[in-house]
Amino acid sequence: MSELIENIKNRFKDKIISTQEDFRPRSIKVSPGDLVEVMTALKNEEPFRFNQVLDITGVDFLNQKPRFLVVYILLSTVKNQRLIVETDVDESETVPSVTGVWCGADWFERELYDMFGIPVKGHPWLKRILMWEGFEGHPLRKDFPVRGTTPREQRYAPWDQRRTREY
Amino acid sequence: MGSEKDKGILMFTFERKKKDTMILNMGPSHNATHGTLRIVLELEGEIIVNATLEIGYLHRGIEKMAEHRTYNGFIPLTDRMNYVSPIMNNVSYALAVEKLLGIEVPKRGQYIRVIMNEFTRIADHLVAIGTNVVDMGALTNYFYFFKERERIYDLIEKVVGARLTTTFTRIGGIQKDVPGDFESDVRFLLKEIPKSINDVDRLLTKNRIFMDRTIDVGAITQERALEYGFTGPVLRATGLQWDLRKKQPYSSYEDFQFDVPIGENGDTYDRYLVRMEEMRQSLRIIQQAIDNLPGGPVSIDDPHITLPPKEIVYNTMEGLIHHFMLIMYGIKAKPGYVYFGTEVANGELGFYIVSDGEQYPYRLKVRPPCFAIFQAFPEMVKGLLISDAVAILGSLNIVAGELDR
Repeated sequence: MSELIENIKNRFKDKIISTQEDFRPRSIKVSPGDLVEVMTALKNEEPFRFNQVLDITGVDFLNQKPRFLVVYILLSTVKNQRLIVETDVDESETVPSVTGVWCGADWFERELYDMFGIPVKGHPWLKRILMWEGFEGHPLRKDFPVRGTTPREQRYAPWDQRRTREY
Repeated sequence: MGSEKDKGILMFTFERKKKDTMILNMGPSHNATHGTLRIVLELEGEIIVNATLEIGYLHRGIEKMAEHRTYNGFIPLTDRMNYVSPIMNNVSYALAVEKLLGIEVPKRGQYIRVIMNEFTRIADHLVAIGTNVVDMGALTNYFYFFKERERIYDLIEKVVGARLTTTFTRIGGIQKDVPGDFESDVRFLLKEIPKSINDVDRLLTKNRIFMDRTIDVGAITQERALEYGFTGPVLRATGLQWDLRKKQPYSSYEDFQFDVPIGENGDTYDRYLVRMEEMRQSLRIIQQAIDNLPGGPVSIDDPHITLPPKEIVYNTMEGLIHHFMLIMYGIKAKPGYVYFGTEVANGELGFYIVSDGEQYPYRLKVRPPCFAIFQAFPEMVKGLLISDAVAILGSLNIVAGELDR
């Protein structure tokens, strides 16, 4: 186990649901309820000092429970290290906003909401950012068709129930 | 903060910060916005009270398209992100996928990537500075710079075959080895580019008008910049020595000697100075790379990842099979994820790729550097004049293709 993950485990104990060290950067998984607390500590406390959130994005695992994985990519310019924080969100659930921790999370969370339809609780101005106001659907969901604009019907490749693919 | 919502002729909702202010719309198509983006300024007299940004005019759904393309098939789309420096996008994406696959390109391929990368960085900075000062009313510098940019693009055309839509890299290497006169061309450019940089340096750096227009305009502190997620020249202008080429070296950048220029105040003038010095440092890197350019192959020799040479495809059964398997089915990455960020001209361009073991990425997220930088624009322009807003917008080097993807 690397030093960073060990420090995180010692600091947060049972708040960490799982850790992943096979891929780079290493990742930890927390529940949405603990997210803001963990993030605040990761930003301010000494062995971590993750002073930048580089990106916030989601992954849609269609037909799985919980459906979405929300991914926070962190960078520490002080310690020169990276970390990914993941959290599971289901369709009807919300993620808490981390704009209070890093103000730069603002647009990334708007994009998360725009592209995946995951509402961000506590965001100062949650509006669509890349699509226009009044657009229906959330384009990066797997049940959104590649061609056309609105999800008319779900079309799966018969051998692959996990994603829509058009031929 | 007032909560009066306007949705009249502007066709989108925003909040007025003050009563009885004038609304000025800039864009989506405006001389000072390089690419289509929109700024709605709220003015009190000529002083900017607030700015509201609307982006998304160039959104083409690149991330959605990536989920339906093979790993190599996505490379042409990366050209269309930052269209000022497409080669850097190609290299950045290829490095991310190579990290996912766990492979490394041979030294010669890495060095050629570095040379082309740095030339594109120079081209990007030339455009950034050139157009920035054009917006401020100084046209001459633009011509000095675009002469060099044209020469760089001639070199790119010779190496790649295209000027703008380069598709320079392949997963596991580059598309083909460089032509025979590459080295002399590079040395010619190394001689010529500093002349133009010095010309513009003499024209601008101590120019009273330029200094008045840029010093203390759009300044941002280092803490705010970090919190906003700034990277690249705009962050370095605030005084932080942070360059991924030094801190987390990739593609053989650890072999080269170069300095990371930093500014002091984080204002428009410092950003200009940082970009000017970065171009000189890029030339230093190119000089070292071309002096020590190793021989050997430019791509890895793995038939599951790179296409075999044509002699083998035409003359052997295995070669033909490998060729068709790669074209029809593409590269398969094992399940997992990767995030890899590289230092491009604007900052950190990162690719977050989730693979489920198929030949298509399950999810691909581009982390464009402008996206984080542009959201701080309202904070930077508050209390300044409209002409300052134009100068700041140019100095941030917002490329709408990358911003909206």
